[in-house]
Amino acid sequence: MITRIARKEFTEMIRDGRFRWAAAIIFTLLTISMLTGWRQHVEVKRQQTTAQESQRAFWLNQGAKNPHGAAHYGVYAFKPQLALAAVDKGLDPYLGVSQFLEAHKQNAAQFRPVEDATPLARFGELTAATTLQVLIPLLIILLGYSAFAGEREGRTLRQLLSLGVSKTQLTLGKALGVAAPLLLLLVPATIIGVIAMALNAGAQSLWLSLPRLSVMAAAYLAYFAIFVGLSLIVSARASSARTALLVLLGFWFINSLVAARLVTDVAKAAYPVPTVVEFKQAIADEIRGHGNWEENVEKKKKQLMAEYKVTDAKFLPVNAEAVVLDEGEKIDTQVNEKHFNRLHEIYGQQQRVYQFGAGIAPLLAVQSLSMGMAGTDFAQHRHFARAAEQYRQTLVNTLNQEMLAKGNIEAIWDFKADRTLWEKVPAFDYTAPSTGWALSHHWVALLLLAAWLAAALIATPLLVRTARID
Amino acid sequence: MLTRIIQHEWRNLTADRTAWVVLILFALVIGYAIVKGQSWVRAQQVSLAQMRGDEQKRLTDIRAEITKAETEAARNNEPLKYPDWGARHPFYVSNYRGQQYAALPPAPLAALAIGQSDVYPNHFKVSGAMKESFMVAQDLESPFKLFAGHFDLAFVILYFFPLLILALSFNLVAAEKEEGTLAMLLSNPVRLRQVVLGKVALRALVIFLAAVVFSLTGFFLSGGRATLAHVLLWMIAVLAYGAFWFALSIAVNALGKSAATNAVILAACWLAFVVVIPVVVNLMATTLYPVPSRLEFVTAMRGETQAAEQTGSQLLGKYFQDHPELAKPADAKANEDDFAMLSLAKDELVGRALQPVVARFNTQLAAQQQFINRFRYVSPAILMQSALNDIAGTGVARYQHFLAQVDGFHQTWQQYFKPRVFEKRALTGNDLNGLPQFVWREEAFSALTRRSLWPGLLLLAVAVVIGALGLRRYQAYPVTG
Repeated sequence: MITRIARKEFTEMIRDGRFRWAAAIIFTLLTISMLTGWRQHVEVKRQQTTAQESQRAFWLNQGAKNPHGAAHYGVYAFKPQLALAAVDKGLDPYLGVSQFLEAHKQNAAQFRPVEDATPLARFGELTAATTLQVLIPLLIILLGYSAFAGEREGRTLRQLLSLGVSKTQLTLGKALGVAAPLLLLLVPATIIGVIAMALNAGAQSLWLSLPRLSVMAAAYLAYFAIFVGLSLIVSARASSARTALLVLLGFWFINSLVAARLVTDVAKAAYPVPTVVEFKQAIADEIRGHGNWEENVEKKKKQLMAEYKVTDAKFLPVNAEAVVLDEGEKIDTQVNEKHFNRLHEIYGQQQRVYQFGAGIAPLLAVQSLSMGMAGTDFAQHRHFARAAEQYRQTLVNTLNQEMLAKGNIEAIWDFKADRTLWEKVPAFDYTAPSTGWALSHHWVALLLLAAWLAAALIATPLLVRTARID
Repeated sequence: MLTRIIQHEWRNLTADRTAWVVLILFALVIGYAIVKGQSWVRAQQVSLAQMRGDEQKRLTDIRAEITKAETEAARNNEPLKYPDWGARHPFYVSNYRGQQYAALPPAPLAALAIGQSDVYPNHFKVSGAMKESFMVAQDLESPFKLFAGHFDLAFVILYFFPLLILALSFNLVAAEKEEGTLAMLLSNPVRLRQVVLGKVALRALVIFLAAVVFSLTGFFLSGGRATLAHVLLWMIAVLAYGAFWFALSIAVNALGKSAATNAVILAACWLAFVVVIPVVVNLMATTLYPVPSRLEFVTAMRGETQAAEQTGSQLLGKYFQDHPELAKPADAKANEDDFAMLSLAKDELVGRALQPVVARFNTQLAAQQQFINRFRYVSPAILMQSALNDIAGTGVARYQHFLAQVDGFHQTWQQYFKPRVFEKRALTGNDLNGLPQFVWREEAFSALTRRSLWPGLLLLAVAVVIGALGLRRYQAYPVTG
């Protein structure tokens, strides 16, 4: 019975010109966005590998130089993109692509792609993710708004129920009837996407991304199921097909365009970000509070002379300036860490508010999960920033230890180290976190998406059963 | 006749509760948007005040240090030597402690359209080093906010405004037909064209009045810095956009379909023009004219810096060849290790070598923008976005104007200190009094008018054409069938 209803719905929908046009357009957009996404990903990956290798070459070939000069010369770290970032660009356009690692300070990532784009980019990026998140629900609404309301207005609903079809059977049949044309569109698109991924990113990359891809696919399917349920509920309870359409479109509008803006306004108000002037001044003031260079060197000389019981600094076995440099670096690192961590905490809290916003708009939940699985969310950006900072500390520390090891030579700032020292610093090697780690930062979104799905699954048969027949 | 129709429509509309609900909702939405825009501008002004405070404090500190060194030398009867470092060293002040902020103040109507002002930096800490070292965006705005977009008046106008117009006018004639009153109405000595015009005129009057009131609110909230001309530009843009959607409504209603079908067609139009087409055009632009990678830019910068450093002792020699006025042959040997001179020479060498890289970047971005300029006529939303951003002063053109001024100020700043570095002249208190200041010059109003009035007038013309064609179609309207 259910399949019979579903087949009737399917046939009716397939023959509808509006559905054909909508499906064709969405399928085209989906395919184009996936193909361009993969092409861009391949290009970006090539650029990143080349750039990171060049950085290593620059570092090793910087010639003979004082270690502290090399520490100021520094190294750039570039965040690698996961394969699935081609599907969902997430926050990447709004996060910096290169982080400069140098002595004395931590730098935020620079060069956000959105700065180098035209204002048109603010309308949104066309990726597979945005098409699935914004346009497919529209298609579902188109498929489902007249499921019950249309039958009621055509006076066929009472007739149908008089044949002995239970309302639950009818609901399931209608749901299947909405899902089937949708799958007709999605399955070929997914196959094209997977093939494109295998061709562009490589089969091995596809295999490694399988866990992330599965979670992503599950999230989207849950999202679509929620919309199917919602469409059927509104269709059954609305007074007319037109009202059903209006209500569903209104919900789509708020879900897709308004909710994110309002929720981020709340997030911003609850967890405000400091201005860049405030931020930098706070760091500078705190560091200056630890005294200036000359004073610290004098203090250290006196302290060391007392410790080693010598009468003049030149009899010391260590160079006071090298010691102050090392200790100063540790203080600089600590102060910078404190402020940057606080800033990242604020962003993290905003991320949590965004996920809680899924309570009013399921889009926010699926966006978070999709971003998380694609590796383009804030948590994974922070993971990279931390890894880069760790590397920076290793680099500067290695160089400072070399300065200390020289002992008390006069020309502590003039002696030159060479490639043997540069090679002691390992190359920057970053591994992206596991799927479980990524998922753990989006548990709120996961929970709320599951709640929405459960509500849809429970409420749909319930609310349809108690709806009017005519 | 028209006035009578309008009066009647007013009575009809005010009797309909849903119309009031919709209008009140719209008012709330606009109120929220204006408040958000205002808080954004206020945050920018706070940031600017912080910058001025920071600048003043640093200048005071430097002045104090200079005075202290000078009075101490006078007390001990010592001649003042050229310092190794510190507040009297010109390079220290120009690159490390005395940098001036070049800031872009928010334009008079900036609260109405946040535009690109959340992504483009609105200040640079100008130092004597090469441009590329300090002209980097360093904002801490939350990536979530940038991702989600702002709820400002421009957003409301681009997305909500058309929906409001379509919601009030999608069933203009279809409702009368479905209620069965159309035939009776037309049995009076009145043309269907006139009826439609009357209905649209009333709705347009109400909506445009609302637009005017809210624009004037924005004007007053800006503290009166905006001139009436600015507000006029804004209103012309908004009214042109509204006219387009009314014209579309008239044309779709003329097809004679049911109200529900009208709603679907108009919703599809809204979707196409406001949601899908801008995104597709952007994809085309970025695929055909991709901007060169910043990673390659960084790599090029590294390469040039390393090459410059490795020329070593020849660096200054080469620099003096290009700038004979700064060379002092007597001190050539002593200057070889001068950190400041080496730094300045290296910066110029690297800056010059990077010019083709930067130029290629800007050319490609300009090509992308040109492509979009050609295609922006496909969607009124694209036209409106750039017009509204321009009028609010948060668009690309004003930002480019700012960049040009920063460039000029940077050169002035460098020129003030360079001779002092190469002649080894320490800074005095007088020098601090003559420090170059960044003075922002707003672009000519005529340039703004030319840029933003033209899309509005074009949209108005298109609206008139579509509306006229639609009105003509009413002759063949199926009144009873």
